[in-house]
Amino acid sequence: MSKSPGSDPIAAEIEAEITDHLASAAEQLESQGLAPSEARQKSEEKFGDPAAIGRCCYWIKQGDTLMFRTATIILLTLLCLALGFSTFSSWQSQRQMAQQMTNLAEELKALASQEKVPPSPAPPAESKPLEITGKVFVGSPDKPAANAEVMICRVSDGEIVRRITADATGRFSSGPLAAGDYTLVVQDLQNATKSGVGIQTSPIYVYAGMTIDELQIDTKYRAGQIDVELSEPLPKFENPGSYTIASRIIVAGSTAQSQLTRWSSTRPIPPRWPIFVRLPDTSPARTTDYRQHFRLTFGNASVLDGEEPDRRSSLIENYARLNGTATLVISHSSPIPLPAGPSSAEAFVVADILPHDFADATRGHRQPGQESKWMDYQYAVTFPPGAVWRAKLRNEHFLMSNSPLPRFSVLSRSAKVDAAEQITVEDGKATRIRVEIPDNIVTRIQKLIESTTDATEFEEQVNRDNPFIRPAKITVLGTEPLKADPANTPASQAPQ
Amino acid sequence: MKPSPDLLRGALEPIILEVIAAGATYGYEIARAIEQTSGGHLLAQEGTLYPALHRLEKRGLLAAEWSTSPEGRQRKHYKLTALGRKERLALRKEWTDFSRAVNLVLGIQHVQVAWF
Repeated sequence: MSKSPGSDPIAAEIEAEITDHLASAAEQLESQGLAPSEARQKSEEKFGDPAAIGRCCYWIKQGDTLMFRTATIILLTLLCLALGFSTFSSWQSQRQMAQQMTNLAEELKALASQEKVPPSPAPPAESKPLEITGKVFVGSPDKPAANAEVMICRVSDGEIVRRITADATGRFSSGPLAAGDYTLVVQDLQNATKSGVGIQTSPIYVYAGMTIDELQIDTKYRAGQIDVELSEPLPKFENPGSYTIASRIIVAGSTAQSQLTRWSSTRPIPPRWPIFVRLPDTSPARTTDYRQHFRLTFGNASVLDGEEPDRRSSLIENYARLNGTATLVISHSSPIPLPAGPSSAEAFVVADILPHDFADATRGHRQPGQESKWMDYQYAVTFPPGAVWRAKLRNEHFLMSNSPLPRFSVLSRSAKVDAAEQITVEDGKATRIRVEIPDNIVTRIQKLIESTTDATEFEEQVNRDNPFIRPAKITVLGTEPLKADPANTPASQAPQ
Repeated sequence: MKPSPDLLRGALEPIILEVIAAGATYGYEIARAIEQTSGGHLLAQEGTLYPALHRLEKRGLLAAEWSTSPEGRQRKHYKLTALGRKERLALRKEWTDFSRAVNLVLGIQHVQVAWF
């Protein structure tokens, strides 16, 4: 460095810091068997040029003191110039505005003095039979859905009043109908992944004197997906010989864009039409839970088990390989893809603690062939988190699923729309959402087990302030085009 | 293969914040932590750490204090400030978005889990 360390405290500090680094590195190499001089040389090679690095650090600390002075002078000069300019332009713009107001007043006077001509009465409507006509196609009008079955349903109760079949060109006609409100349901969408899915139109008002336009019903199943990205790796902690803390992210959501049965006015109006109907033939009165639900979930317990990864666990394999530092992306895929349209979702982190002497957390509760592991999804929604530790405190060797602790339930079934994040699924795209992992999950669980040695006290504390189930904030980041089906693409390294 | 200096320049600050958040406090310890967690793939020259540390300190993301090491040397310890903790999360996100975008262009796919 150009300055003598003795005369400049900043330079002295930088030199002391670099000296400590080089000496620590040399000591480490000496402990591995290198001679002191060789260790020193190697540590300097690994470090780079200490003098150059020291100079760089010095100018980072000092360099902008000079820049600041220069910037201040320039700023003051510009400020004076700007002040003068704004005074001048303010006077000019006031003059212009006064002129414009004068012109506007004159135009308004001219308009007010014009004579008004009353509109001519509309010609009387011709009387026509009440019917609904239209065309059914897939994606575009030049791709007709030949012979598609069309159901005409009453809005008031959703019941089918007539079934008709489109012709080879996709055209249909209902025939004469009584006046009323109707929706149309077209069966068996051609590109829906699961057969039986239908599409339901918005209400059509069939009344004398009203023009009923020919319907154009596009039956293409428009769908997308949701990708979940975590703000940081899921919390996990292993205390060797004592216990393991693992966790699982669960994003639970629902969409009214796809409903179990035909819609009727007894249900809320969907946010967007048309909607998809998974069981078009089933009477609307037979179900009360009409929205399509979805769950995206990933846990890190199997990493600790050293589970053999399969295709479903390919992300777990990468998570382990990257020492838990990868940002995870969990994509949604299901027999029925998520329909394009508005949906709502909530996110939670569910954690649990497993003492290492508790051999099998699920023993006695699974049928053969339904084995699950600690903290897989089924475990996380069946057993209250903390139940294993409570059992240990009671010297029990079997885990009871009716343990009196708060249980995580799939809240999407009762989630209020207002409380959940609104996520729009777009056709052919993946909507990325980011879930913020709450702070201090491991620390809070550790504090709990350190402060309670009695099962009753443990229960009371968990019921008062549950460290195992924590809501997580969702932020919608944006969309990108969907990639190829993961079933057909090899797993690759997740981005860091 | 060590990354080019241009690539490393953008990644070093989030890496340093991450490693300090995980418990490393002084320069040599931070360098060792980066070497170990990256499998030796990131820091070709350990000294490149120091300008980045000083920049982060100057921006208020790190606070530093001096102590005496067991060997009797002056040692400078760093820790994240409240601003540093906030920035750490922001930089993680920024890096994720950036690397994801680059991966998209390069045709590198992230892993997906088919689940319902």
